Amino acid sequence: MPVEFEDLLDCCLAKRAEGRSAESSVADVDEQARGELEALVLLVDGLREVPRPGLSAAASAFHERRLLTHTARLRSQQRTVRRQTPFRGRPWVWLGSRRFGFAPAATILVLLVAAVLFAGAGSMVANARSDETLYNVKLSWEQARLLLSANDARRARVFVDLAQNRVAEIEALAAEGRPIPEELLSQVRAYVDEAINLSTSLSGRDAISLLRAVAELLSYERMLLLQVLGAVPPEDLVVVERALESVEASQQAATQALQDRVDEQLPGTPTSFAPAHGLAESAESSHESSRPEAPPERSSSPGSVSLSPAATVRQAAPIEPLAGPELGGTTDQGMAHGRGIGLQSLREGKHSPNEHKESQRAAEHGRSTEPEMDNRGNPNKPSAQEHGPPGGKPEGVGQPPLKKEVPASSKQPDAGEPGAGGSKASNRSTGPSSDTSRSQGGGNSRAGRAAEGEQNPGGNKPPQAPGKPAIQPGLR
Amino acid sequence: LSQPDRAEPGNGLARATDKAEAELVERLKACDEGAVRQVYRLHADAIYRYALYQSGNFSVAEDVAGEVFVRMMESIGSYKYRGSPISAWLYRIARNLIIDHQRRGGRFKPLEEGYDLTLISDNPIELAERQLSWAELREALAELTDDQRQVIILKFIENLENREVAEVIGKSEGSVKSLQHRALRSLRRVLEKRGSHASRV
Repeated sequence: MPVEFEDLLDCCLAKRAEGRSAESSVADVDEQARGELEALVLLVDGLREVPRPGLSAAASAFHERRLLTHTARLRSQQRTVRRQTPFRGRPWVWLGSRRFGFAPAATILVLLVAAVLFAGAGSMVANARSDETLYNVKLSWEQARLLLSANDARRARVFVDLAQNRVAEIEALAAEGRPIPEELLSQVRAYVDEAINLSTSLSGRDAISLLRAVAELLSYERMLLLQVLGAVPPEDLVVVERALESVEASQQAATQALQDRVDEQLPGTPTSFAPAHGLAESAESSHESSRPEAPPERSSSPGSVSLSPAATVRQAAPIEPLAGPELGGTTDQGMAHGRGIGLQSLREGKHSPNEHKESQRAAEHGRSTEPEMDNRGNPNKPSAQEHGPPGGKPEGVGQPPLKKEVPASSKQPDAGEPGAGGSKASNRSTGPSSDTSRSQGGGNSRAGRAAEGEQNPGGNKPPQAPGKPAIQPGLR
Repeated sequence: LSQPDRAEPGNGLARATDKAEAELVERLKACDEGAVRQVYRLHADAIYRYALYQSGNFSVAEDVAGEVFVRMMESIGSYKYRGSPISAWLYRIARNLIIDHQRRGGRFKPLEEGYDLTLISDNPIELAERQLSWAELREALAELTDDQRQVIILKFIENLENREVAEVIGKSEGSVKSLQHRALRSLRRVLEKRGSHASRV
């Protein structure tokens, strides 16, 4: 009833508004409601007759003048704001000036939340460890990457990435003092071998780049394992030792492959290639070679070696930067252990046939292995062979561990310091590379490795040399 | 006071066509002086009356009428014309200003005494009837709720359509019909209680 009455009233008022009389407006309504409706219609008539005052002329003029003054002020402000072009380079101002509707705002919010969740999930998967539930997702994702890699170059890169991931996991386990599963170590080997095999089918530039990365990774892994060696329980010692041997084998294979490719790229160029050492120095060399006139003290600093083939190649054709710095391969201190240990075994323990080849080439070209001048006229760094003993086994190999103190001259002096090395010859003969490697007894014996471990009082902690960041999973 | 204009029933909100109204809004956004003057002269009296009946206070109504247009110019940059007349927006601004005034302690007061209605008409008989009606109305309106008072003012004094009233007060047309019914019954009851001329009619 009330609803109907509201409608009836509205209908009667509409009729009355059209000009019909009050009686005729309510004539169609039944008698019961007609009386009240008529009274209300008449009341509305009375309301329409009430006075409808307006503003006085004076008040109206005053307010109009005030309004126009205000408008003029706003207009001048508008012009100033337009001239300032407020949004240039300030997107937050533009965003603040927008009034987003619900749908765009909700869409943006949902996208942001999804992006955050996706990034968070991706990070969790990437950082998953072997004992976590997400580790299987990580492995599946790695296999998917392998399957999706379109060509050999990409596939080889993915293998290096996967090897890096495993090394990062090994490092994390070592940092926590937990045993390192043999499976992880063998996976690194498998991935590295795959990458080296694939490098044969790559072009020279790609192969060199890849093999450099592999060599740096192996150098880092070797350094890591040597650190672990000092603190593993006896029952796990065999595993780590076996892994070390296979790392060295892989290192040699990678170095050999790299040198072969460099020889292909630069036929006739004498190469005194040193695996990790040369790689480490290559970055420095490239920095130095980029300077028009490098100071001679710098190039003859005790830590310097001959220009590595990779650096030579880089001079000829620039090579894309690798993950060397992340791997700790290009930092002086970071590579100190790697140089002294990894290179020494390669250089001394198994005298590389390439060194012989290089000597022959140098003889053919009538050049000595003495400090050479690079193509910019700067004296080259001494070649790698000069640091090692003249052939044969190194002093430390096969000998009981020697707690040899590092002589003062072997500490890497600053190139600018007075007495930082005297003559070049003395620098070469007492270079930190050779001395450090000797003092660390870079052989294959357990004792020698244990002695190396003592050099790092951190026990089995991963090498955290200053200036060298720890390896991170998913570096690329 | 200026001569009151007699609105015909069903006049609705003072507005131009949609296109002209949209153009007017654009000119206001550009702070066009002519457009500002046009809007002010078209709506100032209506806003004043609305404020007067709402607040029951002449000085408050005058202040509100002046301030509404200043606020309009300050907010015109964010105003989007969606087909409803600009006067509906002005009524809403006026309503908010009055609510602010009431929150600060200024409650609805019956229209002030001393309002000289002789300025409105020259006919003494009409004057006498209106003065009576005026006095009754100002007291009766004070006894209605805010929504009921708004519907009475907007629909029966300012002659807006139900749809337009709904836009101003932010309710549906159905609610306006219902409010209109309740407001008229309440007003009639109040006037009957007072034995007014209107109720006798």
